[in-house]
Amino acid sequence: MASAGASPGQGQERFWSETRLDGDLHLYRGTLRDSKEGTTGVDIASSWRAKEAGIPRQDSALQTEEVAVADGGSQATERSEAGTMTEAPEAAASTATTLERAEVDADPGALARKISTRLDLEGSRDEDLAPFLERVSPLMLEELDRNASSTAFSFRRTLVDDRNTAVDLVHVLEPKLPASRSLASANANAGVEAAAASNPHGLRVTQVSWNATGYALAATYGRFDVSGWSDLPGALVVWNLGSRRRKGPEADEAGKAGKRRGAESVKLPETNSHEPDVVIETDVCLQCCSCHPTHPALVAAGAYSGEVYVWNVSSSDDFASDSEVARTRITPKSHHDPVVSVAWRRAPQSFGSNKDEDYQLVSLGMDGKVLVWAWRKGGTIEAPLFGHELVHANPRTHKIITWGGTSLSFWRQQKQGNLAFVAGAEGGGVFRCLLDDESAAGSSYRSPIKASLAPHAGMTTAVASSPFHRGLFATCGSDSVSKIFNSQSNKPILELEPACAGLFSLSWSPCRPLVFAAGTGDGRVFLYDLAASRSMPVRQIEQDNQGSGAVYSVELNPKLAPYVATTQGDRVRVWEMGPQLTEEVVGERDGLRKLASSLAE
Amino acid sequence: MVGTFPAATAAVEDTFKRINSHKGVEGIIVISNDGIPIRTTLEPEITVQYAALVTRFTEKSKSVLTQLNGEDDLKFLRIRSKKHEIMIAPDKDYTLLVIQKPAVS
Repeated sequence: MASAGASPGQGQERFWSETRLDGDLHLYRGTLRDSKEGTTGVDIASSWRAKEAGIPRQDSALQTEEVAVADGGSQATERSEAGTMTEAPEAAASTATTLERAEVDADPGALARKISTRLDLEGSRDEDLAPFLERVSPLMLEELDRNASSTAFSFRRTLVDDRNTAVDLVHVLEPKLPASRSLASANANAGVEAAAASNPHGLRVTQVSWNATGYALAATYGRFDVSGWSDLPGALVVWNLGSRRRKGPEADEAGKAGKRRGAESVKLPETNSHEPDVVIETDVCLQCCSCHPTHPALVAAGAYSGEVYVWNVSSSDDFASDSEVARTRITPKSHHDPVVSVAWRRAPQSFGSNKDEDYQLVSLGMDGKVLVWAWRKGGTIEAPLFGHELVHANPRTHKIITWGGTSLSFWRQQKQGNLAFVAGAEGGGVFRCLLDDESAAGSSYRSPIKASLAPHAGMTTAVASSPFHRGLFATCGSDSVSKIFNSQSNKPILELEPACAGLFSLSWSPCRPLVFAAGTGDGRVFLYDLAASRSMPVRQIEQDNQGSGAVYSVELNPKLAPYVATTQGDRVRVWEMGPQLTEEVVGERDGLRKLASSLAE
Repeated sequence: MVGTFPAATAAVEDTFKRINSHKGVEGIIVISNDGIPIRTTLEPEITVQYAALVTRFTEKSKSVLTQLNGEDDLKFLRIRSKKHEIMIAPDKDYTLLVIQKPAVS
């Protein structure tokens, strides 16, 4: 039973112990010897066994939590190297060869003046060449001089460019007109009946106007073919095209429709049509509208009753009462016939400040009155600031009569308060007028007419002044003639007759000085580019004949150049024009100036 | 070899310089009546192309005029393109050709 505390080794003195069966431990010191010899060490009784038995014992366990060890490595693996080197300029190389050759020539005088490269190194013919050049160079120099001052090609160069004049339909805008009072319950049907019910009064788009940003289109609904008392309602409808206006490379209608369907849920994607964003219903037909020149949500409209409204279409409610910012009252001094044209003009005393209300309203009525209104938010406009009446002698009978107005257009970029404008009259007259604050201060309305220009044979339906030239304007009439005038002359510079049908609308391009559009009575729109041709339209837009009707309004977008809005019936179409019709060409303004100064035949 | 005629060479270079100083001039080439370019201010490849094509064109124009009227002769040709104007002055032994970029007005 002996267990050694150390490896037993013969003859080595060690401690060793023995645990006997009684439980005592015996420690010995001495040399390990054979037990046979009978020698034993000292027996020492255990001093702690007894005590140990009395100590209470308890088992317990202890364990430390596992030490979490994680290995991680990090190294940026991507590397990039870039190198750049410019190519050896070829010019330098060619200069070098030139210099080499010059050295071969060994002519220091020529070296300094070396311009040309000698190509035939076999035989020099400079002695022949010099007299030849002497003979020919005067002619060449003369031609070069003439070329530098020539303008023979400078303007007509656009002609040879076969640039894209395409006009693509991008939107068909359908109205959501007020339901008929009598047929209010009948518009639940589908199909044609629904279409009829959506426009029970047969309202037509009377005018469209792009807003200041060019992303929204306002249209007024009314009727031109009623006379006398009318209880037909009207509406102002605004489509916000901003979110939909994306220029995609795909031209097919399906792609556009699909894209639009993805962007928003349009009910009739295959017809590529839109429901309006704002509809303001009115009790009377609206005959004209005009968006504020700087505020994108303000729209002015003229009513059949002779009232003028200002709406803020950004307010979320569709109710007229909430959107209405101002309206005129019918007084003895106001219009007593339908308002046919509204325009904004900068108040003369307001230059320098830039409030929305600094723009006054100018309205033209069929009663011949031209009234200027100062409007304030939330107010009823009691009376016009001042006014004029289109009173002028009839060129045939020389009788002084009041001319019923149809259209008015201000010349742009006018600084002074007295604004010159051009007005078209029902009787065909075309008048150059001046809005004069001082002389109009009296109680009666004076005539603003400064000059009477060559009239149309029928009604003058539209006048439009050029945004690029002061004094140049175009008119069109139901006699199907469109004339271009310089206001300094009574006779037109140019007369254009695109179609047999009468012309009803006119609009100049805001970006191409020589481009304008005219809408006909049978639904077509002609686009003229006077740079390309002074007699033929460059493009003709055929509208869908389904709801045939006159194009009462055509409006080129003032901010987004490719877009043009046309009306027909109760629909508005938005077209995208190709680059030839939207990008100004070099020398075009000169061409316009030349056109304006060219004399009438 | 040219060095033996410095005066003539200088005269040629002077004329080239005078023409080159004109507004919009992009290149001057002198072509012999065999259609071989003698002098140029342009790259050799373009020069050869111009020389070959213009020589043929000039010959054709010349023959048109002489056939119309035997005593007539071609003096000057102007070819207006979208990008350039090529002016050609033919003579007995050589043809002078100037390529000009028209002034943008």
